[in-house]
Amino acid sequence: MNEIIFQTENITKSYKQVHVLDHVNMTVKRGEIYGLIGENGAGKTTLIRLLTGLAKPTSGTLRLFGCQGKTIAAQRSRMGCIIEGPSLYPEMTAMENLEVQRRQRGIPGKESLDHVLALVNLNQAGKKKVKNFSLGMRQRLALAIALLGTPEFLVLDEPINGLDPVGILELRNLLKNLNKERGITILISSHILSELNQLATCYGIMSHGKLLQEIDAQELEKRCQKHLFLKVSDTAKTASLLEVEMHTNNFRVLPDHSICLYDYLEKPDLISAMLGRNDITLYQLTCKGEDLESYYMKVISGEKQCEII
Amino acid sequence: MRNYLNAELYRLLHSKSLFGFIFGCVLILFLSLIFGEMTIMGSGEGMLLDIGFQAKSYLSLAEPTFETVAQSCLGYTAFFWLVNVLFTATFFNKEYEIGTIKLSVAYGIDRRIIYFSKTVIILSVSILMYFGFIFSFFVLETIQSGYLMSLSEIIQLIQWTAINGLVILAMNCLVLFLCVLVSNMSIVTGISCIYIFSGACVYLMSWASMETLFPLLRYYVYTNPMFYWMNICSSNIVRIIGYLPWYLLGSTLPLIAGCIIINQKEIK
Repeated sequence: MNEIIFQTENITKSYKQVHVLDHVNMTVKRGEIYGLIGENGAGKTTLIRLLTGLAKPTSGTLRLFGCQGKTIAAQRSRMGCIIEGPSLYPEMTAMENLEVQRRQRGIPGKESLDHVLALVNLNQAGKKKVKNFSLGMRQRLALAIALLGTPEFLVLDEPINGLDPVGILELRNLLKNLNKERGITILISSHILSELNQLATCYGIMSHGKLLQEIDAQELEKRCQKHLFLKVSDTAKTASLLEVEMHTNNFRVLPDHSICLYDYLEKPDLISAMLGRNDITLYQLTCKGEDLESYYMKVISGEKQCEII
Repeated sequence: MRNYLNAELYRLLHSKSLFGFIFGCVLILFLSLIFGEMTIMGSGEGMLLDIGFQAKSYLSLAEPTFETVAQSCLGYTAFFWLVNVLFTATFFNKEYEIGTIKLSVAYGIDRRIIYFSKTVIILSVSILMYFGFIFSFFVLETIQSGYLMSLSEIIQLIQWTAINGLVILAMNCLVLFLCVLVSNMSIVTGISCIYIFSGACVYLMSWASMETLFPLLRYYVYTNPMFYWMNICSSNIVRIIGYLPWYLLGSTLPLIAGCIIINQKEIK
């Protein structure tokens, strides 16, 4: 069983009677890329602020690397983070910003600075001051700072904001490599669900301070799996023809005699042609299935309906 | 704490705050050359002030004296404190404004270590800059007045400078407390200036009859650094010597309070 890196038990954070976080129970295991998704004001950043010690919970327990209470501070040195955007000294260069962080954390060896700069493609930044950096460069420098000291757990609050498509692709590949090759656990919050879809191995869906659901990528894929939905005049014959002529048994016959076909998703015309050749009337042929965005909207609207009731 | 101090020193040497501090001091030095004899917030009868800051009063005398030259060296303290407040507020609060303090806390560095490291750097720079400032004026005034101080007079001047410096450190403790409370450079600077100037105004109006002053106002003056500077810089140490230890001791209270507050306060 994977070690639990970060866990919350009934974490609540309130500001003047308003519950910004409401009894959140969350678990991040070693090796995961945990995608935290939610609308603006859902509580994602507040949760990250509690994790990083910038704020204290009103109630509940927080565990980091198995430690809680006063012992948790020492464990934070095993983390790297970007919180609410890049925090950089504008009058310093990239190297100087890294040097300050290196000294603060007592990381020996200046060579590590060149290494992390190369990792995020900022080794050509030279003597350019951060105040003259583009937003993408600042995000990359913030990530370089987070990677100093080879952290075991990366906490990234909206790291994709402001990046161009090339930057997003580079960041995605970098995070995947870090996770795969170095086993770094990543907690990443983002609005851009399509990006998280390509990155995360599990998801936490938040809304109005509550963690509505935790689901891993495999389970999500099962729930959202795309398929061709067929309603035909002769279900048995169709099933037989799919096996014999189309060479597939990757389908299910539902109780109402409709068929869910998980192959030929890009070629429904072949299915319809096959049915036509064999005198089977096709009543309905549609591509169904959900992506992360529609699944998320379904989960959120389910929560909203509960609120209306 | 050693690591954080090391990092703060590095940051100091690469920041605009230190450059601004040095520039401010050099500007005061330069302006002193333009303006001749002047009284900056002072009161008294005769040539020498009873309280306040007086520069280049030896120009009106046939022969410069130690008191006039010494007072001239110390007189520009009236401007130094302002540059010092700006430096303290900027250096401390910059990290809140750009958000880098979040990284330090997020990486598990104890907030008290952060606070005390910044305090050590700020107080060290302040006292070193003040001694450098007075030394520069010592050289300038010696050249301008032509008066060569004896060793005992130099030691006396150093003692007055040291006492003034301690009051500056005490003032910085209060400014640091405000920085923790407010985390906004402009507000901290504004409050500090209002507090110190108001202390000077009240003292100037009432210095000759302090015993008859309303107690609350009297204690307001005694807890104000201007009370000490205006007496030290006019060579009236005797007037403040009874209150000085209490003032210096009392200035540790905001320092401790700042440490408690920074430990509890949420960092935005």
